Amino acid sequence: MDNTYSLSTTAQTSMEEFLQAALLFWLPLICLPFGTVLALSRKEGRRPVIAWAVVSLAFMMVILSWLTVPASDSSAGGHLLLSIIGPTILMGLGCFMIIFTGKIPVRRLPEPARTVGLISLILGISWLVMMHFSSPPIWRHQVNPYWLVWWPTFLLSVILLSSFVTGALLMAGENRRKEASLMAVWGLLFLGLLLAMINFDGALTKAEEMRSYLWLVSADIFGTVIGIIIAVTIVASVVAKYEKSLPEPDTVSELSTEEKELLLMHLENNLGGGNK
Amino acid sequence: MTPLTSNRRWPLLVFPMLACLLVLMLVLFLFGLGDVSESSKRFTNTLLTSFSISSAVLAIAMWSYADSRDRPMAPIFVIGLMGIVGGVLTFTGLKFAGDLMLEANGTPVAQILYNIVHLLVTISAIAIAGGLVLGTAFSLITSRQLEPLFNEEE
Repeated sequence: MDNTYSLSTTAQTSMEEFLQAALLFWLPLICLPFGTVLALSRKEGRRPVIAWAVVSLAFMMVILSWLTVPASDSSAGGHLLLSIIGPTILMGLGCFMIIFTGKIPVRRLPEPARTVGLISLILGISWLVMMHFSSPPIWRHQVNPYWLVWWPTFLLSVILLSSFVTGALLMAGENRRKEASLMAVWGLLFLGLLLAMINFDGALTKAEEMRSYLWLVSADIFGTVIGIIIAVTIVASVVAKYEKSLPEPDTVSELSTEEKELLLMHLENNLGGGNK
Repeated sequence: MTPLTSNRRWPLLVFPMLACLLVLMLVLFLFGLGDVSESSKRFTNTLLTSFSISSAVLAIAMWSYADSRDRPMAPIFVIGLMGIVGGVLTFTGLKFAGDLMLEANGTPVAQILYNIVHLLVTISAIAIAGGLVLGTAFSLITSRQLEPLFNEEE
């Protein structure tokens, strides 16, 4: 009798935990992409306001899930997002300030913002490095398991994407060798960080452990990218097939000399630095 | 200067990435890998999860495509094709990686939920890294003096 009662209580407790996790973590997580799509799908009316409010609330619930549903293992994901939100904002703000204090014709920020942006970018990266070496995110009295996935994935992605952008600058850019070299240096800086991660123990992480994680996250990145590519290829092939079956659009007559001159004048007025 | 469309320059995009990967793999082998016995399971799990989630998102997007292009059968065709490819991927994964359950997860539901959060973490890392790299690239590009779009004719 006691055993039956105990089993029923355990089942009830696990059901309650499951429901709590569903309501306080999974439902908000599902609301994030759907809310964003709804918010972006219309500009007028109340829909975007309500949708963005829902997205903000859902995001708050996800990042606070380690407090609201501590029994759920998935709440470690929310805990990780909360841990990296600070450095991410700093890095984003830094890039924004540096870009908009650059030599661009629109929305230029005052010159001192460039230094602030650079400091913000360096602080953001240093924060992440410090998190790895001295104070990683702690969840349930141990290093958050998702941090051990996120950090090597981030470093590896920065290195690979930097090398890709370096190649793209050399391939597509005109006279962009200097920028490409600096981009390569940027990638090498992160390669150095990655080598430090797999060579030196942190306060709570071992170098050998990080080498294993680096290998495993390589498998994760490849799996993720290949999965997405396969799905996109399927949709693209179907769309291409349907588009080919559509009738040819009506052709328009060639521009007259007056129309070409008018077009050139508008282009020059708008792109050449104001009305002349 | 070789034209942008030339086939001779496209390796510039891929070679640096491959070189970085090769160097990293070499370094990892030299230093010792540790326990990576779950790598094929991790690869299969992430592949199936990312394929399933991106397929679901794209299938939803196909409904609006079907409306705008007046092709009502397009989403059904895509969903059917995705189902077949997903089945083949799962079958292949099970054949080569064996049991897809990772040690930390006891039940298939726990494994699926873990995979979804894991994918969220991986995608957030890739997205933030992408933002940082793009931000840095644009910071470098905009730090140089603008070149005039139209040179005055003499």
